[in-house]
Amino acid sequence: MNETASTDAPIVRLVAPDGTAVGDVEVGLSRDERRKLLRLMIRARRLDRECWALQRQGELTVYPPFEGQEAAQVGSAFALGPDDFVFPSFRELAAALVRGVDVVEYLQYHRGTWHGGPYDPIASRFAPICVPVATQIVHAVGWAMGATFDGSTACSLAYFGDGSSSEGDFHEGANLAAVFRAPAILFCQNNGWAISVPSNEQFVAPIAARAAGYGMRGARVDGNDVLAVYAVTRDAVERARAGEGPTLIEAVTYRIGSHSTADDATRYRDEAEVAAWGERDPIYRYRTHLLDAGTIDDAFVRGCDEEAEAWVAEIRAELTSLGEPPVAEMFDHAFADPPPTLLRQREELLGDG
Amino acid sequence: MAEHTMVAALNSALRDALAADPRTLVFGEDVGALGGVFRVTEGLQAEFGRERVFDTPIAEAGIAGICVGLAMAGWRPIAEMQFEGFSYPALDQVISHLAKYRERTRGRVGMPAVIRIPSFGGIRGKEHHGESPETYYAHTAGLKVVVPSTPLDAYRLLRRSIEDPDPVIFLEPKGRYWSREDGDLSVEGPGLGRARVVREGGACVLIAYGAMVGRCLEAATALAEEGIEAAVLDLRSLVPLDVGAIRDAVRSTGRAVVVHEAPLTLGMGAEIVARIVEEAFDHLEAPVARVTGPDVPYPPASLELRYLPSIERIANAVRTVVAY
Amino acid sequence: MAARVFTLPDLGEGLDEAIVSAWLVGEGDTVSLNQPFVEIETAKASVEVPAPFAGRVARLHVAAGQRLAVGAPLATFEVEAAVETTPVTATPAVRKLARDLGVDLSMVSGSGPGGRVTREDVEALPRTANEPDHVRRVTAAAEVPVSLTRRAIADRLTRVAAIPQVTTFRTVDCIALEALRADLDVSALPVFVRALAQVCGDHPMLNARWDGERILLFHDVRVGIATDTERGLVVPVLADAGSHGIAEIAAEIARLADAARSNALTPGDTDATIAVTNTGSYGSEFGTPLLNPGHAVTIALGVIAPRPLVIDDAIEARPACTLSLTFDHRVLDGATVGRAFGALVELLESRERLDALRR
Repeated sequence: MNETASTDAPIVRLVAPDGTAVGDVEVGLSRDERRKLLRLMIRARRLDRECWALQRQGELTVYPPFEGQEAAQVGSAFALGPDDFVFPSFRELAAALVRGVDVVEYLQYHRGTWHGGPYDPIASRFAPICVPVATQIVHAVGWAMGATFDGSTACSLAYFGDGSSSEGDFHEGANLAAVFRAPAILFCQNNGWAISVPSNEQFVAPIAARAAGYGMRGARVDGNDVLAVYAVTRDAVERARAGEGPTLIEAVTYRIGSHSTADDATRYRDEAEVAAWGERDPIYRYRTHLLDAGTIDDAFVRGCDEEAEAWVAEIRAELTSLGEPPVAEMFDHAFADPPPTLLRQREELLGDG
Repeated sequence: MAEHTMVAALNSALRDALAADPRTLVFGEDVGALGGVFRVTEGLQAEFGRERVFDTPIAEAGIAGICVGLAMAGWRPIAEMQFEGFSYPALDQVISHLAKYRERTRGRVGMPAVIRIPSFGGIRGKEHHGESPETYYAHTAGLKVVVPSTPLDAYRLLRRSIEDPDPVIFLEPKGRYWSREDGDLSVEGPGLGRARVVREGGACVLIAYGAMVGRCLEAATALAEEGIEAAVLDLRSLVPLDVGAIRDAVRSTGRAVVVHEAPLTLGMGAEIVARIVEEAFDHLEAPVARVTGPDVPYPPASLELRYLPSIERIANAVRTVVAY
Repeated sequence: MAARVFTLPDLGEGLDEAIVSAWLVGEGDTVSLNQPFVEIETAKASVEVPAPFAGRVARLHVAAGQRLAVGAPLATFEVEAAVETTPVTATPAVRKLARDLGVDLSMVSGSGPGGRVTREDVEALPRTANEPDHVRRVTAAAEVPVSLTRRAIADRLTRVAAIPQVTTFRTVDCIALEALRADLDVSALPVFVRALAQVCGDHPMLNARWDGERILLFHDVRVGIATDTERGLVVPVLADAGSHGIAEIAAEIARLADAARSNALTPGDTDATIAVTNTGSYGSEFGTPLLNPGHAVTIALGVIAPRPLVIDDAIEARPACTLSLTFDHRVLDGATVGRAFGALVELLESRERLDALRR
């Protein structure tokens, strides 16, 4: 059972689950940007549900849903600049959407047509999907170090889950980031579960509390409050650009769905808990807040829904019409300069030169 | 002409690479101020500064993992693992990412990284300081694996490995760090994927890499006194493997003996024998012999000489193969 | 059931051949291991060989009395399949060599360790072992054993074939010779032998021998008369043919023939200096007789029969024969032979001169 209020670590929250402002919601976003945040979250959720359906229809092999974590991903990704670089794990489709990654290319990972997704990571500023949990944290730190060597003010952001925080690479990455004062944001989506292991069996103290141990800045935020997530991340970005080094952010959220289409969370989770977290839904909360603030109206919401519907239909059409990749690609990208023995194998398997 | 130790040759290679390409970086544990526990990186930090040559915390997985991020940021990382016995925490980053990133990104993001690892035995070292890890890397598709045997070739191979667009695991035979060779340091000559005949002979070919090349030459000298002229083939890189050179050597002699420090089972010898069977079967006058370490963990210093292939074991294998 | 071929083993001290004296079993017989199955005679001893396998004697490859080499097949046995034939071992390189040469490795006995077929084993094979299968599969209808005499003749003639020899032919008008022999009641052979001996007196190079470094000439015209016997060709010698008359020579030829046929020749009856063969006795008109070793000349006397000859520009039926003279070209040349041969023919065609040789 994931308790957000039962710890000593302060948690940043600007909008309460019922949509009322409980903090300074003036976080430096324009009206359009505020509306965009909602549109993105609505799109993300619609896409997530479509992907689940696509998997059940055999169009995707395995899909890990992110429902409930829209605010954590959208709010944080929105805070990054065009030169910043994201290092995701395998559940950050919403963040990918915000960063402009081609969704169909991204989903090819889940269709089994290409590992990592065939989008261009450098152009997208979004690394390939990374499955060995926590290993991407070290990549993000290395990238950030490289950015400082170039005198750039760009920063990296590594997404990882509460389970990843147990891995050695979390520790090595965090320590390296601190030692090298790397402009890296270590963004943990503590969604309460690592497959079937709840976070109170994954660690004891809040993840954000570790920051002090590494000598870096830490923050704990309500991961279902998109404005709070945006603000905290924005803060970390500005510190990184100012040369103040890394930040560890723990966004407390909840994985509404199962670990993946291959998992059935009802076997190990209490439905009451899921229902309770349903009461803290990020989209409901933010939509209510914007409606109350007069930033949007119902027509806007309907427009978002319709637009998302149409958009998802396009994605479905494009995704389901994809063919198999050419077999030669298996050989052509392993090396820039392949060994002759590999070229011979390519000839033998393909039956020609 | 000057005389170079392998350490000095490697040091020069790093220096020349840092000077030639401003995107190269050298890092690892104790490589900066100390210049490396074997002095291979001596003087480099002073010359190129802390941003090009720097120490890291003790974090092998981290050292290998930041190679990925640095490569994505357009750098050419040259990382060091202090000893082969300590390189294993990095295997996940090496196998799961360094080896796969180019394929995963469909050729868009390469990993032009070099991981240098002082490896192999012969220094009467402590546990974990004398092992042979080459097959872990050679068996990981996407990596190149290079093993120099002499100072001049170490310079050449390290320079070429740094220039290579693919990730290279550069295994340095620490037992030969203080060996000396006369000559000029140069990148000219055969690069990765090319073996070298270091001794001609018609009776049998000894196939080896690293410190075992020198030992095979000593065995060949002893055998010559009995009228057995053995050729010696230095593989130089295990991936790419110069199958053509192996084939040609076996076709001209009909007999081969493979020598490596690593344990027998599933060592490079197994791969080489398979290649010989594929490429030169009709020329075999005798089974291919392997002279290797036994299938036990690397022993303590006092047993090291009984573990490693000795001149006599190598020579006996040649005699047996020649008499078949 | 599996076939096992037993080859003639080395029975002692490097002997390379032996004779099968007697078979103690027959084809189709079942034998037990070590049962006495053949008697072998070597130059040194007579040996009884025990059967190397238990099984059925499928084939005896050699007849009794036949000679065979060590390693040649002696008999094939059919044994229980449990007795596994060891597969042929050879290195890959040797197998390829065998393939390239068309050699069936199972036919090669291996001299390497554990019976492994070596490169040398394959390369040492005589080419006849490499005959294609269809030739090997032809079976002989019968086999004729070779007697020691025939083997000796074969060996000698093989040596003779190395001598550079030329055959020249002349036709003889035998009207005079026929009249004379009818008169003396002898066959043509003794007349011919006496005439030859006479010519050798004037042409001593016919009665000579090539000695490698010199040519030996002999006064004594010792004529070897080729004689057919059951055992094969025998050449008893008529000594000092120039000193005897035709009638005496006829008697001596008869005596020698009898002695040859009854195997009663004495050592003195050997060592001819020149040879004559009466090929006409079995109808041959002319031929290319081979020299006997040590002779410079051998002559074959062809059959005397009516032939159309040109006599005084007209064709007449005359008794005639062809003489075929083979000479050792190291000793003689065509001109010398021609003169001698011409003299012989002249003599044989002259009634008057033949008469002078009667006694």
